[in-house]
Amino acid sequence: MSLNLIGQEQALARLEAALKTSTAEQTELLLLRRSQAVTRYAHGEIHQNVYQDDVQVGVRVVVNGAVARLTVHSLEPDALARTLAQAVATAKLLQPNPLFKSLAGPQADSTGPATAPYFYASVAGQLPQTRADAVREIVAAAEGAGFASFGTYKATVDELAVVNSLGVRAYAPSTTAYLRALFDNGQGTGYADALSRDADELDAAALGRTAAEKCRLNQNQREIAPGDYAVVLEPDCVADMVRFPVGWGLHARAVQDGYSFMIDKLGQRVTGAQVTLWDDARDPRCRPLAIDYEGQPTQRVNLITNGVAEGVVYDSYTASQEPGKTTTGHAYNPFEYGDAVLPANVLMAAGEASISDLVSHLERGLLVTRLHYTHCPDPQRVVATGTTRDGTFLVEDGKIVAAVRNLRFTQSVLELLDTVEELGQAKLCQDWWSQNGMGDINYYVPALRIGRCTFTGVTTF
Amino acid sequence: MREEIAEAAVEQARRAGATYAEARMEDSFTETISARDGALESMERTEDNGWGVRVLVGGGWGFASTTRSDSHAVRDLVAAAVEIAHASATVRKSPSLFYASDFDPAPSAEVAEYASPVQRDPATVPLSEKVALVLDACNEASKGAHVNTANAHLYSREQRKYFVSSNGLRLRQRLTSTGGGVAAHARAEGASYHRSFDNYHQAGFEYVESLNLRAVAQRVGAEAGALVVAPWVEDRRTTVVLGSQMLSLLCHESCGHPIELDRVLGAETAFAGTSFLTTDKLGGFQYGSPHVNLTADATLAEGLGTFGWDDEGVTAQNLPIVRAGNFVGYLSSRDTAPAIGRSSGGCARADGWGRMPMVRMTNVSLEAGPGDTTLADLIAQVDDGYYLDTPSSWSLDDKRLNFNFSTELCYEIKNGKLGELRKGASFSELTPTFWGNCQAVAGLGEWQLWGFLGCAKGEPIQSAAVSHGASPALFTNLNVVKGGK
Repeated sequence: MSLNLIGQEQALARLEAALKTSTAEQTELLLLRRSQAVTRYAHGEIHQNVYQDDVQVGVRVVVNGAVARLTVHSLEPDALARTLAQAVATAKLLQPNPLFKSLAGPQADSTGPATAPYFYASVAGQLPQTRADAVREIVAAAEGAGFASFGTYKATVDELAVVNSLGVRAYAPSTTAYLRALFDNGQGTGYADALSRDADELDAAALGRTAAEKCRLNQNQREIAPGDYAVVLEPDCVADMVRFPVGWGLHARAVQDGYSFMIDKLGQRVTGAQVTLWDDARDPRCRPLAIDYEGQPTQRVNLITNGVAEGVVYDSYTASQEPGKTTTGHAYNPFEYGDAVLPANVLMAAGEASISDLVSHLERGLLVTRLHYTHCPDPQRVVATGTTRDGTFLVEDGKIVAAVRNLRFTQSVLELLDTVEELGQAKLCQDWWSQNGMGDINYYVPALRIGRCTFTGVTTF
Repeated sequence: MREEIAEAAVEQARRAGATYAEARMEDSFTETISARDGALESMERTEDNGWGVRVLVGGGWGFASTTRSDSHAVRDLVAAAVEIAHASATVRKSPSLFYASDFDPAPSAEVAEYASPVQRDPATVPLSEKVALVLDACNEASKGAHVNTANAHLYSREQRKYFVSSNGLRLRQRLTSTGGGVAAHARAEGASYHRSFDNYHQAGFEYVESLNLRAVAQRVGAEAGALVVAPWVEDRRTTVVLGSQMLSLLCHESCGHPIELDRVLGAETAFAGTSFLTTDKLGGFQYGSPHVNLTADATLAEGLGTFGWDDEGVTAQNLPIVRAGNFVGYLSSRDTAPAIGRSSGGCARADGWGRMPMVRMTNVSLEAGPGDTTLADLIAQVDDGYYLDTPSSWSLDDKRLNFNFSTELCYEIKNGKLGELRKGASFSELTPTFWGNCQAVAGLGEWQLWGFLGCAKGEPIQSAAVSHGASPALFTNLNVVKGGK
C-alpha cells in the first residue's frame, strides 16, 4: 500500500478543529499515526510478512480538576468530535484529582523538521521486495557458511502531533529501520543487528558477515562454573544493563514513588568514575526526535556524570509535583505505557577501543555478545538477572580460547558499573525488550571491559 | 465497521490469485480506571476498530491491516497483502516448515456465533459505582504501615470479531473480560518494598464484585508494611510450598511458552528463542513428577484464553499437555500442526485487527491434585522451608530451560506451620528438574484461575490475554536465595 503522509498541515488542522469544539477547561489531542512493515524469516525463508497502518488519537480533558483520557483509532472529524464530547461527559462524572495541576504549556521549538535526521524516504517509500531482497542476501550469507538463518526486517513510519488548549502545537514525522540476523550452526548461534532512522544505512551484507563470524566461533562449547568473571560486554549487553537504572531509577516517577536508587543520592557517587550517562533525544547518534508525547521539546538531561548522580527526567505531571521543576520533555508513549516518564535516548561516554582491543586487554574472563529476557529482582539495589545468548566466549591472555555455554548472571548494575575498566566504541542499539516491541528506549552506548560480573548459573546448551 | 468489507476483501483476494484468504474485523472497547494515593489518577477509554486480510499467493504469505473503511480501502489493502505475499514467495524453501498444505480451498462452510457468559455488562455499570470502588480500594491499601504510595485499578474490555475465510467460514464472537488490582509500595528504614494483587476473568462486572477489592487492599497494604521491615530470606536449598498465583506464572513461562509449536519449529528463534521441548520429546519425555498434569483448555469457564474459534476459524479445544509428568502435547495452529502429524489444536490467536494469528497460549493450567488436600495440609508436611507466592520478577533463557523467579511474599514454614515473614526470595532452576521435584498438588478446593492481560510474543509484538489455573503445590530441593544476590 503506498503510504501517504497525513502531513503537518493536515494533522494539526484536524486536531485544532476538534480542539475548538471542546468545552473542557483544558484539552489535549495527541495523534500517533504508525505505518509499520515487518518481514520475518526463519530457516532461510520468509514465514511472516505483515503491514499495519494505524491511526490513534488520544483526547485528554480536564473538567473541574478531573482528568479523563479517551482514545479512538480514527482522525475523522466526526470520530474526534464524538470522542471529545464523551471525554468531557466522562470527566464531569469524575472527582477532581488534587495531584493534577495542569497540562503542559507551549515552549519554543516544539516542531521538528520534516526531513533528516528524523525522516527518510528510504523507509517511507520502501517496497516489500526491498526487504525481501535484504533478507535473501542474509540468507545467502548463512547458507554459504552452512548455517541456518533467522531474523527480522522492520520499517516504521511515525507521525506524532500534539495540540492543546494552552497553545501547544507540535508535529514530528520520523522513520525507523531495523534489521537483524541470527545464524545457527546446530550447536550455537551468531548475531548481528543494526538500527537507523535511514534504511540506506542498513548493510545486509555486513550483518551477514558479522553473524557468520560469530556463529563460526560459537561451536564446541565448554561448560564453565558459575562465579565472578571479568567481562567484555558488547553494546547490546550494555544497553540491557543500563536499562535497569533507566527504568527503575532515572526518572521522576521512580523517585516520587520511593523506589529509585537516586533518592537522597544527588551529588553522590553511585557508579565508577568512568561512567557518564545522559539523555538527549536530539543527538543524531541516538534515535532523534524533537518532541515528546506532550508536544514538549526534548531536552538533554545529565543523569550520571563521572559516576556522580546528577539528575532524573520529568514530564509535566511529575514536574508539577516538585517545587521549581519543569518538564524535561520525557513524556513516554501513553498509548502503550500509560502515564510513563522515561529517558528514551540514553547516551554513555565512549572510548576508541574496538571489541577486539577490549578482548586483547582481558587477562582472563568472558566476552558476552548479547543478553536475554532480563528482569529486576531487587529494584532498589538495581539488581539484574538474565542469561547470555548468541555467543559467550572464554578469553585467556587476551585471546578467545573457547565458546562457552550460556550462563545466568545476577548482578547489581550499579556495582557492575563500579568496576568499568575500559570504554570501547559505541553503537546505536536498543535493549532486548525495546528491540522486540516491549519498550522504545534507544541507547548509544559503548562496549565495556568490566572487572567483575557475577554469574549464578549455567544452562545445558 | 461493516461486515461486508471483510467479505469483499476475501473475494477480492481470491480474484487476485489467493489460494487461501481470510479477513478479520475487530471492534473493541477498553476501559481502565486508576486511582493513586487517594485520588482518581486517570480514566482511560479506548475504542479500537480496524480490519486485516491474510492471503496465500504464489506460495507466499502476506498480511495487511488498516483502520480505513473508505470506498478504496478493500482494493488498497488486498493489493498490499498480495504484494507482500509475492515478495515472501521470493524467499521460500521447499519443503517448508511454515507453509502447510492444510491451507487449501476445501470448503468447510460454517456460520456461527459465540459470546462470553455475562451476568452484569460492565458498560451498564454506573461510572460513579466504579470510581467509588477503585478509590475505596486505593484508600484501604494506603492505610498499611509505612505505605508510601498506593494505587488501584479496574479494567473491562469488550471485543467483537467477525471472521471470514475463503473456505466458507463466517464466525462472530463477542468476548467480555473484567478485573482489577491494587498495589502498595512501602518505604522504611531506607528500604522499599512492593506488594500487589491483580486478576482478570472473562466475565461481566460480577467478577469485579466477587474480588472484594476492599479486603484485598487491606491485606496488600498490611503486608507491604510488614514486608518492608521483615528480615531478608536466608539462602538455602529447601522444601517450599508455592501458592496458586506463583504457580500460574510458572505454568505460563516454563510450560506455556516452550509448548508453542511455532517456537519449537524456529519461528521465534530471532526474538524470544526456541524451546527445549523439541518434537523428538513428544510422548517420551519426563517433564515433571507423576503429580504434574498440565492442560491447555480453550473452553475453560472464565478463562481469558477461552473462545469459540481461534483466529484461523478452528474450534476451541481442551488439549492434554503433560500427563503424570509425561510430555504429550503442544499448542498448535493450522500451519504448524502438520509438522507433528496432527491437525491444528486451535491455538492461533491475533492481538486485534492489526496482527496476523500465530500460536498463542489459551489457558494452560496445572490440574488440581486428587482428593481434598488443602494449602494447610501441604504446609503441615514441611518441617522447615518456605511458603512463596506472587511473582515479582521472572527471567528465562532462550530455550525456557533455565529460569529465575522472585516473589513478593515469603513466609518461613517451621514444624508444619507458617512462621515469620521474609522478604526478597528468589529461586533458579531448570524446568524439568523443578517440576520433577513436585511432591504434591492441593485439591480442587484450592484451585484458582489467574488472568494475564499482556503475554508478549511475535514481531510486531502481540499482546495476548491468557489465564492459568493452579492449586498450591509442594516442591523439594529448591535453591531459595535473597533476590538478586
